Amino acid sequence: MHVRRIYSIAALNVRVLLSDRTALLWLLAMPIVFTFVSGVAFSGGGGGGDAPVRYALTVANMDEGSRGGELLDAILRSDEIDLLMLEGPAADEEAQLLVEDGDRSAALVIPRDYSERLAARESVTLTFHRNPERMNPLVTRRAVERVVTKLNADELAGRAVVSAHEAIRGAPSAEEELELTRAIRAFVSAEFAGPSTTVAVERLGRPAQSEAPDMGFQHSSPAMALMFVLLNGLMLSSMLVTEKREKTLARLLIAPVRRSEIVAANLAWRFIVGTLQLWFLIGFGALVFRVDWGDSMLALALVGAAYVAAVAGLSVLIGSLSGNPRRAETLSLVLSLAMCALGGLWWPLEITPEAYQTVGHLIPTGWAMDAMNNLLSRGYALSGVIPQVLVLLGFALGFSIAAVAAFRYE
Amino acid sequence: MSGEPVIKVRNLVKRYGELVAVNAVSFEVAKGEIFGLLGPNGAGKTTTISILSCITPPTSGSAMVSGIDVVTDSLTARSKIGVVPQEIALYPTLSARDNLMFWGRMYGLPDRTLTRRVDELLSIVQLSDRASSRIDTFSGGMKRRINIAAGLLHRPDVLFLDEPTVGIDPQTRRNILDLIKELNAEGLTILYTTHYLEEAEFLCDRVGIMDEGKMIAVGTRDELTESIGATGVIAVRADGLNDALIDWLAALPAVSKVARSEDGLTLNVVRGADLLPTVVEKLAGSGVDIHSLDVTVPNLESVFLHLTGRRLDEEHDEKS
Repeated sequence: MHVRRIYSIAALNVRVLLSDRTALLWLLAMPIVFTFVSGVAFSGGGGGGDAPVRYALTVANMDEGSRGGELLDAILRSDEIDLLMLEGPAADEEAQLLVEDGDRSAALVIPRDYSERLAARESVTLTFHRNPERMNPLVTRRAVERVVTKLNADELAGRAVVSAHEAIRGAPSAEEELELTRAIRAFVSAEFAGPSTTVAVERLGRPAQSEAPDMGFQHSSPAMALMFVLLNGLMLSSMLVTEKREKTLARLLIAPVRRSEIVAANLAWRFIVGTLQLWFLIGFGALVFRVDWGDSMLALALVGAAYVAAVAGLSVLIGSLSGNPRRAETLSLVLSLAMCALGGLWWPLEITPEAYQTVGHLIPTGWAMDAMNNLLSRGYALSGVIPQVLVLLGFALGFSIAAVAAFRYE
Repeated sequence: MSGEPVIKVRNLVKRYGELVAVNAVSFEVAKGEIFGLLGPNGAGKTTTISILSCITPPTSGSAMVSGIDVVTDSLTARSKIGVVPQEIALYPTLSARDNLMFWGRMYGLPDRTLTRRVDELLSIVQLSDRASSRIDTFSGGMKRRINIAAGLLHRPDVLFLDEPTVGIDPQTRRNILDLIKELNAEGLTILYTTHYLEEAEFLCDRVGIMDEGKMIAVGTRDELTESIGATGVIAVRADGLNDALIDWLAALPAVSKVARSEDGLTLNVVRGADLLPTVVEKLAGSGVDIHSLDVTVPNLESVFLHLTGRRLDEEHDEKS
């Protein structure tokens, strides 16, 4: 290996790249624009202000007592739900039909004996109908469950006090039981408002005036950085194809330059450009978007280097296999977009089905995003990203070996 | 051919599946010679150059440049060879100087030596004043000249020029041919491929004619034309011709036939141009009043036509 020749080829390619203003736009400007748009979109700080989002829930209250109304009052107090009440003796059937037909996504039915069974200290079931073909706001179900949990706590506490009274003083009269129940409910409500054990979060090691990172940018910055390093890296494959077409690659092979030196130079300059781009975006994210890149710069550097090396190897492989610059660009674009989608750069892999997550981990983006999440969101340091770094280096090695094998001058 | 050959090719074969691109080609090129590979497109010229340039391995046969086997010791062989490809193999967004500096570094030239050599070559190709201009601002002819300069940076033993005048105007072509002549005059051995027979005749000391992968003839132009018995024609329009003069002319060894015409005579000759002074001197000395002389010389076209039954430019005409 002749280092001066490798350096000369690498430096020349960087110069050729930098002479292309469009390439610079995609290298530096577009990632920032996309990060900004995506960050703002997911930050929740848009035109809606601080007003909470409210969801509608269809309800059929068939309860013949008062406890059903109390349950609905508690749901309304959560400030998340608006109730669409169904009236009439067949409201429960109507609710079921509306959901079955897909006219409503979900409905809550309170049974006729709700109050009665509670009074008899028996279990009672509320029915939450949902149509699987409709989008059901998870938040409506969660709100109902939260309210029910609190009411269960009231109920449990009430029964506990009455049982204790029975054991000590004998069974209470109806008036006494009512009084006890009221008292215990007031007590539980007060306890829920100010529980005995709370967790206080104190922020240490940060300047007092420092603002918390914006969660939108906290997600969009690493994802967009990985996406644009991949997109630009793979698109650079067309430069190798252009070299074949314009015969400068053949001329290089006519000079006393080894094939391995040409491949090494092509890997090297792609690695340098990708690394510079990644660190530009990391720096910009930290300074302008206040992104917290985690506790370990070394871990971040290792993840970045391994990922960029994998992208560089794949870029040279595509360039080696392609005979036409446009075909190389099309292939690169399709591969990049597919790898972004499958690797969890556009949405978290955690919310995707198991098979999707498996596919996501067959490609470098899935592992790189995993590593970024470990560093930025899950609080891991170097030890938490070693497996991902090793897998990414494996991808880099595999792609590079394949690129050398597939390398042709025309 | 005299002296130790710089290029020695023996039974070179290159197959691509069923296609035989180069079929048992053999030839030698002496030091200081301009050797032309002449033939239509697809004749195997560029493949032969590619093998000699070490970028395409032959299927069989051997090729040596400056005594070095281009297959077994290609890295050393490549340092002895300068190649000017048919395409403008330069980086269009870089300047002429930056391009030449880059290609010089590929040959391992130290920067100080290289800077001097680049200046020298820019001067030779008359582009010193455009050294800092980007290649994509150059005319076709200027690009061709830089393309040639890039092949000369490391002072090669032999320069391969693969159809370097394709697609350029006549004036630029002439300038490039003159430049090649100058380089050869300084002792550079040149292997020149072309499908323009006039270029081969103008430039080359010897020519190898290729067709369908085979070398069908090798020699100087005269050797080639003589080898097929091709004759030239000298047509004389004159008054005062007589039988004695015609008999004298017919008896000359180079004259194969003499025929009288209405206003003069025609002589079928070998090497008509060489014979012309003798003919003129004899006619003038015999009191003949010469009105005009027209010499038609046999050329490489005649040789190609004779050997293949086709004109060299037929395929270009069909394609164009």
